[in-house]
Amino acid sequence: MGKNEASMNNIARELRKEQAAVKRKKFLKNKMAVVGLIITIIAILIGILAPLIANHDPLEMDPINRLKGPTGEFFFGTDKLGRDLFSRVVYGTRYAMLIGVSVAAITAVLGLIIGLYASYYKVLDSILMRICDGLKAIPTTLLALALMAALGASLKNVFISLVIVYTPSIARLARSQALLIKEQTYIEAMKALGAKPSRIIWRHIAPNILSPVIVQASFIFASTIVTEAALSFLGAGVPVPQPSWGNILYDGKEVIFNAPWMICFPGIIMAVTVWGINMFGDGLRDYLDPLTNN
Amino acid sequence: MKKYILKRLLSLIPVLFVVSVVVFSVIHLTPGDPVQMMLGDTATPEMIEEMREQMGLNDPIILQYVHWIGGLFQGDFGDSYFIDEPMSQIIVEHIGPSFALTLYAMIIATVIAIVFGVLAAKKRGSVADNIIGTGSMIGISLPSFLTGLFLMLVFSVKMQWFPVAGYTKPADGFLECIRSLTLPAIALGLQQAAVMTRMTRSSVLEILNSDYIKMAKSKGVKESVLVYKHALRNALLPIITLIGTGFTELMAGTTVVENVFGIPGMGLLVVNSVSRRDYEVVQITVLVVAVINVIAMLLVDLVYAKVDPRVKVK
Repeated sequence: MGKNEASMNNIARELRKEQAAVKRKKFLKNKMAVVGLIITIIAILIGILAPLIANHDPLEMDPINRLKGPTGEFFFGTDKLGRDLFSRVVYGTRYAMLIGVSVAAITAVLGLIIGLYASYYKVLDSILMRICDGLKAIPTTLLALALMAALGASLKNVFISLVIVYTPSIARLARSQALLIKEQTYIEAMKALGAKPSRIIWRHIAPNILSPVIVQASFIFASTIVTEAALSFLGAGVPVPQPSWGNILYDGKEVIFNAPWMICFPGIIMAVTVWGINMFGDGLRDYLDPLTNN
Repeated sequence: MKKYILKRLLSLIPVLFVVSVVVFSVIHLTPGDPVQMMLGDTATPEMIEEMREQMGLNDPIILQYVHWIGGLFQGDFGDSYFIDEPMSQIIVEHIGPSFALTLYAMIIATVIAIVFGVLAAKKRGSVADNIIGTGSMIGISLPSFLTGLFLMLVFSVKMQWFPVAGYTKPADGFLECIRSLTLPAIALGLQQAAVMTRMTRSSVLEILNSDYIKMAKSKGVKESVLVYKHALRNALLPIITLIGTGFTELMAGTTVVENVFGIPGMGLLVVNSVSRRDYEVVQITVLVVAVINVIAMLLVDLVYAKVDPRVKVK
């Protein structure tokens, strides 16, 4: 008996390994997804290594070198205060990645918890989902903007606003997925066996809805970056003089006639990064969750 | 159908309630004292206190909310601290440009989506299909304010075909108005166009593979008639619903695009009011946009239920 079980376990492990290998191969075959993954990793690395990559202090003003075009010293040129654009974009990447990754992670966890409990308890469900509906009725940027106006401009508040803005979408997804799982016979069997709700929720429902939640979180990563940039562009995001892609672009718009590089460089870098993360998200969906892919 | 409409209308009540609470909270979460901001540094504490009393800011918060909501139902939208006009007039003035921009962007997005989506489906697997596929993937990733800045750089600064910013009222020349809205509308509509192109392609493809099309083909129906008359007509159903949801997306996008191009719509009003700390205006504007949003979503659901009766049963 014991021996049999051990060999069964071995077979199961081998099978799982094989499946993972097939999936990995499929992901690597999806060239766009691999390119997306590489772009995402590079962007995160730039964020982490910003102090080493930037060759100037992003806040240091240099009035003599105002609005200089790209040169050997100032790779991307300088802004109207003579600050080095390259270093500002590098530090902007740091903020974008910091906010993007942390908001995606926290909304995934919060949304998962809310969705799971909402799917399990009817009363809780109607309350939580009405709140989610209400929050989702207000357009993303507008809600984030209103929250920032209420909380005041700071990095922490950007983070809080974006978490409030994006959690409902994950909660809704987690709930709908959990409701499907909840109807399965094995959950009924668990209930009949007298398992505690928390055990059913965390040990038996949660693992089965993780994949779509993670995929959704990767798209929220990309959306967060865009919304943060939009907020900073509107003057309600990362407080100046700290560099953010959004406020660099705003500065760029003010000098659009004299310094087109102020829009080109950060704009292209932002577009490529967002595109990369979206591509990676697409690949991740095919990898983790082939059934929901259409 | 009546029952379904009633049910959906009733479901709006809790949503609108939550929206109103969120919007109301904004003004009451503010760290700065709005009255102090309003009266300026020269105000004495007595003046501030008097003003607070007058505005009802010293009442318990629940009472303030009830007053506010009661006022809304009686048509009292509050007053702006800065703009010396009734609130309803402020909203009406600013909602026009936003609507025009949204509509224009919607038209651009729909035309692009149908032209390129059908083309991609017709020439499936060809170079054109691949280019359209890649293009729409890039389009989806381009936030509207970035597209707007790039367009501005090329078409306003370099080519000088369009004004850099600003808005001409239709009354001051319809063509000038269109010209002032063209770049913002493209910036706003492009992302939506990309989403809709993918959708159009897949729904046309699905129908082109169906039996009745194969039947028509074997009967010798011409390719163009087949695609445009038989396939597109049926493929339009999902596209129509996408136009509905797209409308709310575009309405949301106007906030940023209006600020890029200086279009005096709801988005510019909100951002200006935030920086002036004119919270009454922020409250009402966000509320109005949310209500429009909710109504638009309701209409989409109703149209969908009309088109696809299965929805009602759920």
